[in-house]
Amino acid sequence: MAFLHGGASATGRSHLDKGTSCEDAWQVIETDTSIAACVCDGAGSASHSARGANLLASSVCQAVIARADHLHSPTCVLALVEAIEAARQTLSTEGPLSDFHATLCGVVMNKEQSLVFHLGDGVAMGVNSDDWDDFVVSEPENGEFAETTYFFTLPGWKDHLRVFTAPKRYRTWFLMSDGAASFAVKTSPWRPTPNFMKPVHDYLTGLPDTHARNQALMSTLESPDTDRITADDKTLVWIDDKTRL
Amino acid sequence: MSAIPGLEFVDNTNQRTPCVLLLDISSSMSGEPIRQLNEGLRAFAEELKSDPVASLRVQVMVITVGGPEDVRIVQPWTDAADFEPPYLHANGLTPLGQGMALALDEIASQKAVYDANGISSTRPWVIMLSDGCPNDYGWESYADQARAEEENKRVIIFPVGTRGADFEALGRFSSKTPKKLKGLQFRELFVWLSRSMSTVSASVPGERVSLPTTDSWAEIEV
Repeated sequence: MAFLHGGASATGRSHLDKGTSCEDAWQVIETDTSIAACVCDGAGSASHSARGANLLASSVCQAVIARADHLHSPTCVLALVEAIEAARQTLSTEGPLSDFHATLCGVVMNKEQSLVFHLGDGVAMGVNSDDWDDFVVSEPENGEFAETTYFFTLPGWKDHLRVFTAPKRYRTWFLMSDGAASFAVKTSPWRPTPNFMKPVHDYLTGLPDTHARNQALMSTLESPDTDRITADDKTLVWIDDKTRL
Repeated sequence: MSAIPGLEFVDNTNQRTPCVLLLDISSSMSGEPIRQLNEGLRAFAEELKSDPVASLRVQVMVITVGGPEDVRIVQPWTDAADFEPPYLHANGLTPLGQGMALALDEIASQKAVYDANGISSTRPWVIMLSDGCPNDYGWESYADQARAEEENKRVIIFPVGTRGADFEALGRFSSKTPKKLKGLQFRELFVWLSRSMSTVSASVPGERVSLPTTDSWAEIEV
């Protein structure tokens, strides 16, 4: 495989205290020539948001990896939209869509470029790991106030789906839910937290396998240091093109 | 496996949770009520400061109605970490309508400051506390404006009355039923408020926040 990756979701303090489970979901799928990753954050106000987040992450990842050779054409974006629509259809047979509110933050990368897709909050950040001052960010979209955002389950979801392509030099990507973003990235302007993202990247590239990388990320996200910053669930996914090494 | 070494965990969330205390300090509050209100404000400040997230994210403003100047900002916007409770003296009338209008103006101005500086914010709260009824001319229109702002999800208003308050009038300011304070349990009210603000300031987008119960300070809803 041409890529390294790792990811983890840690249950936030607010859910641990209530005995409820994590409502974030993440997925990574790779082939010999491409990789797709998604982070979905289920809304705390929705009773089955974890189900919505899980289905959305898996549906979208499968759809975009199947079109990853066509990032230069609308084919992949159309597959993305169809996958979201299909997930909505499936969930609408299980209950009101508002029970499954979740955000979407993802990327699919081939050897030539990356396609970023984003709906709601969370952050996607692509880094040129030869120059950490060279990065590209997909910012969260909130409403007028910080406690609101947009979900794939809302009627006007297509109006809030943001898509862009990033050039080849961004071969390292971080996807994160808003919980992890609260310490992994700085705001105004959005940028990496210097003593967080690069050490994470350096450490993960030195680990022998995906299992070890997932474990390292989970232990990091479960650190008590994160509890004094956020009570939210925290998800962080890292992917890297190892052929650049 | 242990956590990745050498990481710096810094709270980068550039977010504020604004809270206006709109307090009736008219002459009917003199004596034990104003003493308990001052005690409650002290408890509010202490509780907020003891919460590391809330102390940095919550911003407080205190507006009084009554006193020597009818409507007065006795504490401009300040981070909870720096909030020193004012010591209040009871005096004057109860121009709650004008007080609410000032609160909404100040909230709008502060939101503009946040927006201009790239600071996100949660929906502002106004805690309106009174032992009487509004008696300024045209208070009804100010109350209707407040209610409309709340219905448009631009503010959250909590009317609270002590025994003897005009709950029908207080209820005109919000779509929520006013709470009735048990006796003079201002301290319990403000402890609840600080814990609620802690919850909101650490809330996450899209989450319907579950606030602490009001049983410690509120009687049954009127």
